[in-house]
Amino acid sequence: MGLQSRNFKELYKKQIRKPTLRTNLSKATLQAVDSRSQSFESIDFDFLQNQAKAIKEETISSLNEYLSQYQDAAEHNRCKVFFAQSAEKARAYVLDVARSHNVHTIVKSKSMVTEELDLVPFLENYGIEAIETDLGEYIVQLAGEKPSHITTPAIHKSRKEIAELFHDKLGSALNPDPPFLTAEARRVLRNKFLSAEMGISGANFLIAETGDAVIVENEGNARLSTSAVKVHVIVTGIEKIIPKFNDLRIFMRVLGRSSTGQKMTSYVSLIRGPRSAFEKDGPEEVHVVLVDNGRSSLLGTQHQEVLHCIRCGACLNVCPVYRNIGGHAYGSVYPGPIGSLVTPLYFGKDNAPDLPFASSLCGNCTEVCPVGIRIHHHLLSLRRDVVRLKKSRLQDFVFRSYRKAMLRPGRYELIGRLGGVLGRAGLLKAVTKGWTRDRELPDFPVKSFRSIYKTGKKS
Amino acid sequence: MRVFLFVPCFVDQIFPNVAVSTLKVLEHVGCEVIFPEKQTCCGQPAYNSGYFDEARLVAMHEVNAFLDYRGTSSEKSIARFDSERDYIVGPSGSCTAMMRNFYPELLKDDPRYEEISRKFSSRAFELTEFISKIIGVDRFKGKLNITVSYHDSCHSLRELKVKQEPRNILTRIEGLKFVELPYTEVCCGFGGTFSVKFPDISVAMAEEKLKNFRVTGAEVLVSADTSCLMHLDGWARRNGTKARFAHIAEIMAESIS
Amino acid sequence: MEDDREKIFGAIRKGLREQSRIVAQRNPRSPLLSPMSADFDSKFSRFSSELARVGGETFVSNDLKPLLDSVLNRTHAESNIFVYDEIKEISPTGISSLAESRRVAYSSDLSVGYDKREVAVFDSVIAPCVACIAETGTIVFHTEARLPAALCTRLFVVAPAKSLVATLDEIFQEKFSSFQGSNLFFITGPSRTADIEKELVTGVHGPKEVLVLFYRA
Repeated sequence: MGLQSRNFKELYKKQIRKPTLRTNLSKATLQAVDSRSQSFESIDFDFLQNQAKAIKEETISSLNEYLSQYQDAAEHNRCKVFFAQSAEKARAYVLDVARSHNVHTIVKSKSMVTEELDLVPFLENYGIEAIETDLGEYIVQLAGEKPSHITTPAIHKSRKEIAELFHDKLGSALNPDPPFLTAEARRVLRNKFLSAEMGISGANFLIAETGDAVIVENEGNARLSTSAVKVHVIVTGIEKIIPKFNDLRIFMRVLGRSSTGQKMTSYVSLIRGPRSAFEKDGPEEVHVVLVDNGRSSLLGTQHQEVLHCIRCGACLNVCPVYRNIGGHAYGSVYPGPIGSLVTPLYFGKDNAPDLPFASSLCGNCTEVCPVGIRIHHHLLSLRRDVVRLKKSRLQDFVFRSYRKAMLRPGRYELIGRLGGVLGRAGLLKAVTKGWTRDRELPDFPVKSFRSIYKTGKKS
Repeated sequence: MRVFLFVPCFVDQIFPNVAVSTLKVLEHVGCEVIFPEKQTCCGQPAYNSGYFDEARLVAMHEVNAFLDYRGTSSEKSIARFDSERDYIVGPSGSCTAMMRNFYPELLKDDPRYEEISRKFSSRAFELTEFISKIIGVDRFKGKLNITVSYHDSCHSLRELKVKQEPRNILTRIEGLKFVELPYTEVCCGFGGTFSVKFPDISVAMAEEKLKNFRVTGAEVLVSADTSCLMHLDGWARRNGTKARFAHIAEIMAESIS
Repeated sequence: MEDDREKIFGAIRKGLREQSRIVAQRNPRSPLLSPMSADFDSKFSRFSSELARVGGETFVSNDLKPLLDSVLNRTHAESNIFVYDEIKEISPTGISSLAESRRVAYSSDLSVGYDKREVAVFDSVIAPCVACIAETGTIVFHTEARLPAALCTRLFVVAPAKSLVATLDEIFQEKFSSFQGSNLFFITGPSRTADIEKELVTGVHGPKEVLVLFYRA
């Protein structure tokens, strides 16, 4: 489907006109915000945020050492580590692994990086069936859509829409009851788990010290995708490293709470390697594909800390803009506030010129970010980069004039008073259409404060 | 206590009563108030639009309007800003946040950066914050029979960390009934140039905010930021929603008259 | 296929060339706002309330009887029950009496690299664990076969009382980081999802019921 973020303005207008979308999203995100707050009640959020941020800063500032340490440990654990600079390279490697094992069916658990790589459609083009097994991902895959949220992919869909989808595609009875729909998915996917030869997952963390991949989930599909297969391929970004096993005491406490308001998600798998001599099941091969795809270009820039992101989705849930337009409006697999940073920074600022502006800068994203990314500050400085990159004569003129007026108090007062006269005469509406389409202008006073103040002082 | 009054440009030009009320409140709590007349704008409109160079020049002008103030001819003594004693106080959480939190970022390469951040940014206060933290809330006494709810502007709440201060002030007013706004921490959708760049998203947020306001049953929605109120009022009037929107300085001034 | 290791490392080195290494000041203090006592009863009460919150059940006993009773109550004569050998070692008589009324198979029956369809028939599994965490109601597994516990509908867990630790801080330590084998696995309650309109549904792909018995040997 490719990156659509250039078309943000058209995309969001289409989304905001869907009243059910806004209702679904409001309900779901506000509920997520409430459970997040509750889950942090008995624990020191500031402490965890500071520690998580410090650990991520350490990791990123020595990323090559930690990647190297991770690779040594993982290879020692008999994993095969592959570095891919581009999406093409990563896809080619995964295809290569699948072909060399004569794979027909792949069970896949949720992974943002595989979405970023468009991996599933790619594999399917080569005749390999790749099934998303996370319920939300499965729903959007059946619908031929893309996920609209980092942790709740089908957040934009109502139960009724899902029931119709299952009826059409799976022949299920038309029953919108979530337990029924979930059981239907379990039935269909269970067969896939039992026939698949290969599993693909992401990783929430890679531990440099031990070489472990940490996979966090609630449904048990990732457990099955990584256990019931001969070959397990982990696809993840180079920034997912954490230095020490002990650092999990911080990250495991923030991730579940930030994403779904859980103290701990239902399942956490620490994958160290393929089946060992004393084990009877588990994959015979574990591959780890470490993807760059634009990430290293953030190093050394003021946006380096964006690489701290652990993809919890908390910034999406609190974002009032996201709540009104949904994930598909962003035209990128990474939506919401963090997506408005990741998309231009990974895939090119000229590919997403509007995203940094699609924020009221309310700062709620920064407040909840468990790894302390100052999201709205980064959005601001990206705005400057976009202005420099994409010249707009009209805007340049507006802000040049603004500057000239503001540097001369006399001129400023004159323009202000002229504005007042025009405003009172109802003549400003034409030049303030962005405002007046949906809102009234304020009443314009006869005198400014400074003139009232001056008069008052003289008398 | 001497206060150098900071009046945001659109308050000066469009909402002068907010500034008049601020002046009155500050004098009521015993401050000597000076208005440096060379001030214009904090630079935020340009900064938030990505025009950092323009914003920097305007910000420097604003800083100088205060730091280089030498008094007007009508003032008998020379009212020079003393950064050890004097304060800069304005009726806006947003513009204060610009001066306190964003100037240091915007001006970090300026040779006068250290001086500005010490003498200027750290002396800039939002009105309710100043009265609560510096003056002491008990200096303020008012009386007004009214039911109000309060809208936290995002910059007050998250940049300045001002949450309890305006509530403490409002609930001290005799006869005033305070009702908390549901989802008070959610943005109203103004967001500066965001409100005209993405008007449909902006007003969808206003709609949500006013839905929550109606739940409170209050007569007036009060805030420390006129910009949020202008946006909400503009939407309410267009949609025939009857509600009054008032800056907290106006409510305070009414309560002492 | 040749990988891009050197290209990526080159790009990283270039990006970081003007930065010095940052070392995080790791503070070992607990982030929990109310500390937990180290005695078994306090830990047990926290564990069972945390597990109950997510839909799991907990017992404590000197033998396996309460657990085996609930296995009997929740299954029927045709139920297939998978029992890990460690459990048989704890209570040979208990398990053999269970085997009289239910179809029971043991982990020792599985061959290395067995066909996964073989274990898909087990609706209930009785499994050992290596630790339980009171802070979150979490069970930590380290077993020779991981699939039976992942595919079943009911998961019965037997935990030695001394395996119950207070907090996550005690798990993410050297003692657990040096585990042998392919994986360490944490379960906190039933398999669940809220992917459809945020409504909680249990038993998506894994167990719908999770019961833990702490026994004092």
